[in-house]
Order: sequence, then structure tokens, then C-alpha cells
Amino acid sequence: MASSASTGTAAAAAATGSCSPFASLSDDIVLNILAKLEADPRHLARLACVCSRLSSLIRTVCYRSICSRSLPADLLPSPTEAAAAASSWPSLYKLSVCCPGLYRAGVLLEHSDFGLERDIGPHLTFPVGSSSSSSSSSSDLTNPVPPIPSDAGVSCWSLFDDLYFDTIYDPSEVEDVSFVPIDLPPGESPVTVGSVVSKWRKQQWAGPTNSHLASGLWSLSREQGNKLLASRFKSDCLYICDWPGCVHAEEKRKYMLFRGVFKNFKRSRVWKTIVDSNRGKIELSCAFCACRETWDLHSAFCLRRVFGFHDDGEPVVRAYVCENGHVSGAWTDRPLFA
Amino acid sequence: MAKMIKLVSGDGAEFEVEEEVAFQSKIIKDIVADADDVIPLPTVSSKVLIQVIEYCRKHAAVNSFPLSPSSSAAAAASSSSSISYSKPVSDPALRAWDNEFVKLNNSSLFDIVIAANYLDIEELVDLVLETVADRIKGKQAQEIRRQFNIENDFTPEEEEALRRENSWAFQNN
Repeated sequence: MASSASTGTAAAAAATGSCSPFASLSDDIVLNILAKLEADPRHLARLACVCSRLSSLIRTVCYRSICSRSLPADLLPSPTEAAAAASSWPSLYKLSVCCPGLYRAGVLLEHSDFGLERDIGPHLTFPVGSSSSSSSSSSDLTNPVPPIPSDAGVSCWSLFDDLYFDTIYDPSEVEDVSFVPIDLPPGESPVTVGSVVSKWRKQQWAGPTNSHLASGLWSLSREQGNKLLASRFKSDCLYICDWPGCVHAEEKRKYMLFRGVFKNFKRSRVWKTIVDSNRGKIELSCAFCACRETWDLHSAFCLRRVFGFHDDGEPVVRAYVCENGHVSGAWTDRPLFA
Repeated sequence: MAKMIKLVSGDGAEFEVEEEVAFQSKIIKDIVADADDVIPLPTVSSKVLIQVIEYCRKHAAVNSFPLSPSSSAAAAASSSSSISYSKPVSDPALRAWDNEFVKLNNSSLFDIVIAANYLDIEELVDLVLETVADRIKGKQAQEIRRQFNIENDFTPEEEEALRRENSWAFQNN
């Protein structure tokens, strides 16, 4: 049987192995087969592990095609960016379809990693007018934290929350709390300096803890990202998946796992905050790239201050970001105030 | 008397087929328009050409004499659609025939899709692509390699990196 006229075949024969029937197919035909496997994102991911020819076609052509259709145009890398980083399209594809799982969303970490917050106490009880080292944030005090968004996108809000915050909520309190210096007991090393070996919660988990195919929509939006970050970061472009993300019902509470990415992370205010405050990384690797460590956005005070804690010290929302701007995290239902 | 077209395979075998059967191939339809009734197909072996002709004969018959108004309406609708792939065959009996037709090993299937692609027989290309895709779905990488006799040409480091990147996809839930 003579080979087809397509130029993709000779290289294909060398790459796929001459004894495989796949070698006789041109790239066009193989891509048409791959196009029929788009409905379930796992198919292409598995195929990318089969051989270098399929891996190359999938990671450069297929992922690009799918992401171009499913993600906001703003998020797509330019041709030069994509050429410079081979992982651009694979990371974006994974971000759109893969839930980081309880492990990579940091849910398995011990609450004491948030101990820094607990030393201050919940922000609601912090006295008004306390001293603050707000020199680095003087410009922010002129921008009050905006009122809690009233749109129903975050379903964990209830009428009780609105009533409570209408009476208690004070933007200036929130700003002060952000920059109070912490005095730790002597001998206890600060959690945030240098890399810390993460401590893991000892409990049984009902559902899968590893990364898996996400339930819900396989896309990202900036609107969701705006709901997560504190107001002074509103110029940063954070795209995260739609609410409620991938829902994991555990015994004690439900976790709504989300994933996302900052556009131009190194030029973002969040990045500047992390760098300026010299925050240490956590040994929690990114679910979406090769980064082995991430920063905790909650203890870096990048998340909206209204998110507090549950009675057992677990934060209502947590998020972790890697150096490439990939974000993994988890919402929980806000505790109702009786 | 139906007009006959002569197709000549790469190994020199000649096949006379009715015009409407041959015209399942858009390429042949175009060539014949230039008043050529003998069409050499040097890249198609007689074994594969026989199978392709069999498919075309079956589909020409159904397209000429639709079994029900709904199947012809669906066929008309799909042919005017702008989507270039995945036109589902509406007639259940024809679908069943197609499913039997593609019960072939991978090599034979690939030979057919290459020929059908060359001859531009869209429905046959689509049928084979669907069949191959179905043989891939649900399988892990190692099974796919075994099924299609594909060599694992990754270095251990590459393979480990890919496994780390894609292990989320290995579950079947």
C-alpha cells in the first residue's frame, strides 16, 4: 500500500514506529480522530501519554483548539508566548477541565497553618482605632472595602450575613487588621518565613483527594476571580472557574473546589504583595504546572477580608498560587450566625 | 441502462461500477465531469477498493431510495449543514450495516480511511474515524499502545513528567 501524499506521514512513520498502523495515517486524519475525542477531556490527556507523536499533536494543536473555543480570549497566550513555553496550552487545558482535588486545594493542610490569623483573632472583634503599620498601604485606606456583592453568584451568602454586616461591618477596621505586625511567642518560628513543611490533617476523607476531572463548566471567568480577591487587587486579572466549582461533600462540611489563573501574574499587585512581604512558600505543589511550592493567598491577605473562619479554625475560603499564577482553592459554606 | 464507470486499482484490477455508486466519491464525480470514464487509482489496492465500492454501493442505494420520508429529510438537512464532519446516518438499518462493515482490524480500517480520504467519501471517512475513536475511549495509555501496536518512545523522564501531568485523567468514574 503506497503512502499517502501528505507530508506528515514520513515523519509519522519514524515517530510512531513503522509497525503501527497509526504510522500510515497523515496528521490530518489523526487530528480528525482526536477531534472526536474532545467530549471527555480525559481521552486526550491519556492519549498524550501514549507516544511522542500523539503527545505533540495533542499538546500543540488539540489543546490550543479547545482552549481557543472554551476560554476567554484574554487568557490565551500570544504565538510568541506559546512558542516560548511549551506548557502554555497544556496548563490552560488542565486549568479548564481538571479539579485540583482536596489535596492540591490545600484542604488537607492543618488549620494551624492559618495560625497567624488566629493570633490576631477573628477580624470582627478587633477594636476600632488600634495602631497600625499601614505605611505600605496608605493609598488603600482611602479606598473603603466595597460592600458585599449582592448578586447571587456566591450561594453561601444568606440573609443573616447581610443583616449582620449591615450593622457590624466597618471598612476601616478591616484595613487596620491587614497590616498589624504580629508578635509571636519566643521560640516559635513564623509560619510565613521560608519554606515550611506542611502539616497534614489526620482524618478520613470521603471523596477523592487527588486531582480529577472537574464537574461543572470547563471554563474560567474573570467575574468569579473578582469575588475572591480583596478590593485593592481589583485591577489584577484573576480568572477562576464558575461557582460552585467541583463540589466535594465531606462529613463535616462541603468544599467547593476551584481553580484559576492570573493573567500576567508577575505584573500583578498580588505578586508584588507576595514579594514585598517576603512571604514564605508552602510545600504544596501546583496542580497545573511543575512548581513544587505555592503561596497561601489567605495568609498573604490577598483575599476579601469578609471571609472568616469556622468554629474549628478552618478558613471559609482558601487559595494557593504558584509562581506561574495558577490558583487552587476551596470555598466552604459560610457559618450562619444564630 | 445505468452509466458505468471503470475504476482501476493500484495493482491493475478493473472494477465497473454504476455512476451513482462511483459518485459517492466527490473526487470521482469531479473527474468524470471532465468526460473521463476510466479512472486509475494507483494509491488504492484492489482489496481496499472492493471494500470501498461495497460501501458506496450500499449507500448509493439507500440515498436513491430512502426507506422513509424522515430519513431522506434528515439526509437532506445534514447535507446542507455547514458542519463538515459527523453527519449521523439516520436510517437504523443502514447504521447497523455500517457497524458490521467496520468490524475489521485496525490495519484494514486505516487502509480504508486513507482511501476514502483520498477519494473524498465523507461519510465513510467519518464512519471509520468514529470507529477508531470508539476503540480509544475508556482505555489507558498502555492499552491503547497494545491495541494499535504503538511503540512507547518516551524517555523515562518524559514519561514520568507526562504521568504527573495527566494522572488526573486516569480514573474512569
